[in-house]
Amino acid sequence: MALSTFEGIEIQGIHLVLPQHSESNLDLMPADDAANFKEKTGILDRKIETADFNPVLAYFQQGIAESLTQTQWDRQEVEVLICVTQTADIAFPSLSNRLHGLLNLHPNCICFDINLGCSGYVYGLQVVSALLKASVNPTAKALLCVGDISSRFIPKENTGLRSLFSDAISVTALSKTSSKTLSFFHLESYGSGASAIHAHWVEGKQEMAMDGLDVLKYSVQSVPRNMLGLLNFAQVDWSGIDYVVCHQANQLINELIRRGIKVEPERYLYSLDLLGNTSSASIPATLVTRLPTLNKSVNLLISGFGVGFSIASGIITLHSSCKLGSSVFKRN
Amino acid sequence: MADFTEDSFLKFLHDELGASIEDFNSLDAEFRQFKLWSSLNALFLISRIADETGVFLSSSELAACKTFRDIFHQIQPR
Repeated sequence: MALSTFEGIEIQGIHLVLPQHSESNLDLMPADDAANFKEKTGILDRKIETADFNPVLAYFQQGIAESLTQTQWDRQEVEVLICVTQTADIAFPSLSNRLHGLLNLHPNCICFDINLGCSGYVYGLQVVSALLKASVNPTAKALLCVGDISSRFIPKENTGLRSLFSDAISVTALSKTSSKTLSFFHLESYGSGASAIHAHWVEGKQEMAMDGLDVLKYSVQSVPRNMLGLLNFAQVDWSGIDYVVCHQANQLINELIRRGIKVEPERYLYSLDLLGNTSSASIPATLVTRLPTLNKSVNLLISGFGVGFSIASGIITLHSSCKLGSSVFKRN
Repeated sequence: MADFTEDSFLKFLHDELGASIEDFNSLDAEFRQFKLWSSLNALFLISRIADETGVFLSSSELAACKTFRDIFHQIQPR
C-alpha cells in the first residue's frame, strides 16, 4: 500500500486560516539567542492562538465556509469531509461529524478524523483521492481539513519547542473529474521512531515532548529516500517537477533533506520565516503563501514527515484554476 | 564524505560553532560546561557532522559524550 496513483482527482482550492496573534521568539529568549535560533532554524515570528479554550472546531468551520465561497460549491454536494489533526478539543465525536452538523451537510457525506501530525496533509490527500476514486459519482467532491493548534500542547516555559511551532489550519477542496491529471503517493511508517515526538502527561495536562536528534535522524535518513522512491515509481525526473514543498520542520532539517535530494534552492519553497513550523498545515501554508501566481499548471513534489514516525510524499498538479487564499481567524 | 583527523575535527568545530559558544582549543573541552551550550547547538553540530560524514549520532550516543573527543570517537567509520 506504500505506493499509489490516481487519475482525474484535482485540487480546486486551498484555504489557510491563521491566528490573529503573533508571538516573537524575542519574547521567549534574549535577543542574541533569538538571532542565533533564527539563523539556524529560520524561525523568529510565529502565529499563536491565545483563546483560553481550544477553538480548533471553529477554525475548521471558518476554513470550510471560506473554501465553499472560494470554490462556489454547493455544500450539499460534498461527499467526503475528513479532518486530520492531533489537537482535537474533545476525544469524541469526531471533528468531522460535528462540522457536518454545524454546516448542515448532506447525509451522503463520509466523515471521519485522522490522527496524524506533520505527514498528515499528504496522507489526507491520498485517503481523499482513494475515496473520490471509489465513488460512483463522476464529479464527487471532498473537503480535507488539516492542521493543529499546537500551542495548546506547548507551555511558554518550554522555550525549546515553543520557539518552533505556530498554530494554523487549512482546508483543501478536491473533486473527481474526467481529466487525465495524475497524482502519485508514497506513504511510509517507522514505528520504531514513535517516541521521537509524543504527548505525555504533566500535572494533569498533555504536553508535547520531542527528541530533536531522533527527529533529525529519521527525517534526514528516510525522507530523501522516500521522495526519490516516489519519483522512480512515477517515472518522473526533476525536469518534471516545478517546485518541491516539504513539511516546514526547521531550516536545519529541511536543508539537509534538500541536499539529500539534490534540488536547487530556487525550486525548494519555505514559509518558516513567515510562519514557523505549522505542523500538518505547513505544506498547504507554504503553497498559499509562497507559490508564485498560478498562470499555468505546476507540478509539485510534496513531502510531510513527523509524529509516528510517519513519512508521506506526493506528486500532485495544481492547475491555474486552483484558488489559493487565506484568512485570519475571527473569534465570535 | 569527509574522514576527520583530530586536527581537522577541531578546525571543523571552530568553523561551525564559531562565536555561538565560548573559546576552546582542545578536543578535551567538556562542551556541556560551556555557558552558551544549548540543545540547539547540539542539533546543529550533529546535523553538520551528518552532512559531512553521513554518521548520525543518536540522543543516547550524544548523552554518553562528555568531551568533543568523545564525539570524535563516536563518528569514526563503523
